[in-house]
Amino acid sequence: MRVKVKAYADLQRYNPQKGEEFIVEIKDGSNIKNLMESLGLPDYRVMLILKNERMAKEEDLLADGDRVSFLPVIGGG
Amino acid sequence: MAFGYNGKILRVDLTTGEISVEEPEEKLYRRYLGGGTLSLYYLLRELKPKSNPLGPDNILIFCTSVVSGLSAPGFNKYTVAAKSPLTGGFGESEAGGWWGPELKSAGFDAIIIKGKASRPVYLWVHDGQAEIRDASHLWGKVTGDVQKSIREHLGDNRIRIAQIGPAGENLVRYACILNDLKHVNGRAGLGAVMGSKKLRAIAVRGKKNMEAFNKEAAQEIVKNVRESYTEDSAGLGRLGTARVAPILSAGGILPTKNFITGFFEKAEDIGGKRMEETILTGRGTCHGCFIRCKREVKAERPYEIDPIYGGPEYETIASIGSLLEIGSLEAIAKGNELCGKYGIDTISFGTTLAFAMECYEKGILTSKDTDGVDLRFGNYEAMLEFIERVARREGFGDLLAQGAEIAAKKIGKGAEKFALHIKGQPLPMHEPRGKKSLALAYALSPTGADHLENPHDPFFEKEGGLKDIHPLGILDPLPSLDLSIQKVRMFVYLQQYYNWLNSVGMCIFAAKPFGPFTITKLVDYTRAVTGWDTSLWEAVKVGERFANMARVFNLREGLSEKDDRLPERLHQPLEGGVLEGEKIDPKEFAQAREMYYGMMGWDPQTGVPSKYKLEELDIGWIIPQLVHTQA
Repeated sequence: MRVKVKAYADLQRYNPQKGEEFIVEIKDGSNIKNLMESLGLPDYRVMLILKNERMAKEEDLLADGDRVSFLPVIGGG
Repeated sequence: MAFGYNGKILRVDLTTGEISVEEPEEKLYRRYLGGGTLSLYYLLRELKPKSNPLGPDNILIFCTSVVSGLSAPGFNKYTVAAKSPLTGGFGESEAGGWWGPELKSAGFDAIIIKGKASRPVYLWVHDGQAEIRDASHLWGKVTGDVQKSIREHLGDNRIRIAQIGPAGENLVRYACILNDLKHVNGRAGLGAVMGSKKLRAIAVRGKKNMEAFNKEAAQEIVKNVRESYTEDSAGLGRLGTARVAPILSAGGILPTKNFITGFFEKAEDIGGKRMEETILTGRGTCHGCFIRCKREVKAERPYEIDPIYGGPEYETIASIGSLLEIGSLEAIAKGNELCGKYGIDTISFGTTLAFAMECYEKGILTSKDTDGVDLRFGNYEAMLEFIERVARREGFGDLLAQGAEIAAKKIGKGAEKFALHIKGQPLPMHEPRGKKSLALAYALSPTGADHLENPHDPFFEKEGGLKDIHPLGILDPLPSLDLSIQKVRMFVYLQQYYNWLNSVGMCIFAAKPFGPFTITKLVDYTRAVTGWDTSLWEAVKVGERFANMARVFNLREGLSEKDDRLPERLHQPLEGGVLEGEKIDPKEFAQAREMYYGMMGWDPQTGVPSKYKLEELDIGWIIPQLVHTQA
């Protein structure tokens, strides 16, 4: 299946295709944690995960066409 | 011989014109280090309790630290401190740039300014000397003109100038102090204190190189820090602090429409990426720093924006952008330039204007009150117009110039609930309902609502992020929305860590968890520079010393636990965004505050430090000041 990923600002370094938004091919039945592993994106760098514009958890299963956003940790300043 | 610092403090009495130099003993430096802590040492000793913050008795202090100003990333900050005209309590604000390091090269670690000049003056500090000079011809001019004029007159383009603008001259309660026109001591209204003394600027220049005790060790640490820094391809250096606006909006915690909601539909339009694509012309930095988080912007249409004032930081983008529902980056950048020209804190101005806009939309204010201006949210022309009117204190701008708290009292009619301030300090641009230690930070910061009291909760939700603060003894991750006793403990430790950073003039963006300087390396660096056999224990004890000194200062000035509160809005649910419905539960907050007092060694009900705690911190000499709390 294919999911559309948005890795905001600081997290772009985990996008193999460069840029903020990109498509990832991932095997059926994967969850968000699997997606993060495939990108090499460590959990402690993520402040919030959104799936189809709603808050999501790493255990949430993905479906073809889902949009997943990763928001980097922001801590003041 | 002192290493890392000069051992000299400049004293200036503007009433008498007397200038002298104090040479404190080494132990004083070691006990208080610099920044807010060393400033509090002098304020508590020399400022008469209950002095008028805008009267000649107030004392204005510019203070570097024992280790700042050598060539290390982040170690370039200096503190300005005084009694705050916004809060009536301890006021301090830090700024980076080159001014602090230049002051040390000029031979001084701090400047203590008393009295009031009979006419406008500026201070010229150079190579171990200081002169008070006439500034009558500079009074009323915008900051860019004043900097140019002083540099030309003194014939040196490398002179560093910290100054107020017309807003400070006119005692706008949230006037700021700027150096190099773009590094700002923004908060607490210290520009008004400087204006009340008729001191327009402090120009500094020096040729002395500060020496480290162990130069090779200090250089090796800086080299290691540099090598450990792996910059994100689209992180702070490339996109600046401005990059966080769209992130926070997507996360439901971008202060929008006077904190009614945390989601702003135009957030992408005002973020760092959009800035890069449109008005960004360069990236700037501070003394000794490779992170380059500062912005340079330029535009000709729809507004001509002068690049000398730098580009807007995130705090400005939110405070005169999303908070007012303004989605034009050009208008925000113009507002940033105008606040720089006139010397206005963008945060306090934005929060005060947001208050007025909400009053206007709720019918508490009408166009008759606002000089005929349609003060609806989103009106960016009104935002730009009122910066100048606030600075000149014209019409409705005169009311806004007093800050949200006083303006609300004068307006009445229930306006108070829309004035978002703590202790009179308008709220900065982070949302406590989405990261709950911030509720404690805002309510308990001695300077009123402050977003730099501690690194925020999202860093510490996962084991991986916690590694940075293991040296403090914080070992368990906690959710951002948690406000349990474990969160209070985490906050107490992190607050003392940040109090230490403020005392040594360290930028939060260069230190962990943001930047490359680890907690251990910060200690190692202090050892290498000063030659002292010091430790993290001694360092965080200075942080705790600061917290207690500031607490006692506020208590003697009449503040109490009643002022350690949140605006009612933060106890209401967030509207819209992914965190819709989230709020700070009043009971949970009250319990957390009690736990904080208790952990600090303060009375759990009144927040008064115990005498034994003050003795333990080696500041028993301030115990007699607690008697003023009864007054």
